[in-house]
Amino acid sequence: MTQKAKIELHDINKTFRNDIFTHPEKALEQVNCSFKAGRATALLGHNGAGKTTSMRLILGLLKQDSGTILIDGTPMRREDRRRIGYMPETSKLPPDLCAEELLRFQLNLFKAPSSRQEERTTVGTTWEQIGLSSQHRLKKIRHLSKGMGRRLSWGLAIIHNPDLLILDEPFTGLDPLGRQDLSKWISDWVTKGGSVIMSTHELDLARRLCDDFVVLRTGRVAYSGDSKISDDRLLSFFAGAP
Amino acid sequence: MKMLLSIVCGTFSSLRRGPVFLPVLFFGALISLFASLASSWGVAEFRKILFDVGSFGFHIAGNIVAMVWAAQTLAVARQDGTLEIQLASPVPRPLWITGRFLGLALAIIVLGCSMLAIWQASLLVTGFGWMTGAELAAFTLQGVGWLVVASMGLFFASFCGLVTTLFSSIAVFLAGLLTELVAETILSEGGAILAKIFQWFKTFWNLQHFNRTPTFLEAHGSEYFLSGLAYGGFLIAFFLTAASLIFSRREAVF
Repeated sequence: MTQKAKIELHDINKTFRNDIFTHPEKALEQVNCSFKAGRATALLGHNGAGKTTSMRLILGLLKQDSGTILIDGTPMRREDRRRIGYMPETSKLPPDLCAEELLRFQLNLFKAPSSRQEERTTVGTTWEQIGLSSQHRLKKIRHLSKGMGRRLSWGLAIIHNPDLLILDEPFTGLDPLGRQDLSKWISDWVTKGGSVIMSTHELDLARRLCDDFVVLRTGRVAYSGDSKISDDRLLSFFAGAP
Repeated sequence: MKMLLSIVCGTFSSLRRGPVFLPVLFFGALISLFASLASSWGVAEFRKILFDVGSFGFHIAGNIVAMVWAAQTLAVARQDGTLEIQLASPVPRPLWITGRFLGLALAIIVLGCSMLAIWQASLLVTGFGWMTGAELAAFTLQGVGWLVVASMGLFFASFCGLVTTLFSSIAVFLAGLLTELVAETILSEGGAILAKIFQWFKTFWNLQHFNRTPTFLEAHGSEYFLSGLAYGGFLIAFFLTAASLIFSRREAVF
């Protein structure tokens, strides 16, 4: 990463309209929170609390009905997405491309390497970091296992050397070794100054990796603060009795 | 530029290696082979009918592939989530749509040229020599028609899901094939206002421009061919502009 990135959400409202005959569903309501630079923040909450929606809003995949999203104090622009790496909840990747090809493709979408050599080096370094064996480099993605697909998603998130990582349930589908590799990598990365926003349902892991917690409950922020909060108190925010 | 090239290559590689390309190439080649043989040797009426059926099959096959690929490139990919990571990038949406279309166009051109090569080879093997300029022109116009249909498919895919995209594309494609016939019928039967409406509609959306026989093209000269190319270019630009405008304002995931 080149610099630390801080994300702030101000008065965010988001409604989904599934079709014209049903009432719109509120996914987020007056969400105000910040994700500090150089720290790992866990986004927690029950299923459907609005974690993935919040992440997708930061990434520009969804548009908020109202409110502003700031990065380092200024409204998020399209160019700022260069500073963000994203690992979605499921590894849906183009099945007919090779793993290495996809990494190159992703790198070129975010920043054009100055030479073929630089491209090769970056892809090679990323390949080593995600811990996949070199025999899988030229395999079609449809022939990779689910766990390998998750590792590749991890590679896609970090290949352009972002300042901020947004990880949506990153440990889902990874084997114990993969979980260990990824959690170690995240710890090292935060130590070096990188920022992380991570959604997860695994509280132990969240406590081990994250400095801060943001708990969402039915689209509202129920808690935002230090991760050293007790389990009982934390669970009370999930349940709805702060 | 590198971003665009990367999107084009990614799209082209995905389509070329996907499950559609080889079967279509095989059956397209088979249709063109039969149509070519029926045409070259046909003297009796039923053989000419066979040629017409073969040509029509070839024409329809190309257009269906264009529609399916367009839907696959955008609607399917958005619905199943494969686009999520790519659309979280700083690539402007119009550039992304353009790149996707160019990759799709490249796959269609490769497919068309492969079929053309097989057709030509069958003519040479059976002793009928090289294709005439008019035949090549007819084939080129048909290819441009495929690209137009592909851009139309992308337009629908920019705001619809898979089923709606395919259904709308097929309906509008059939409308494009029929407008000329309907307009002519209405003209011959009177009904001034309706005739004017259909004439106007025909001016804008008439896929028969890309479905002309070599004999027709020979009779109308190169001017007709060039105007067909320009018309195709206009339609592609129109659909891509509309798709880009809509896609830029839409949410990237369902």
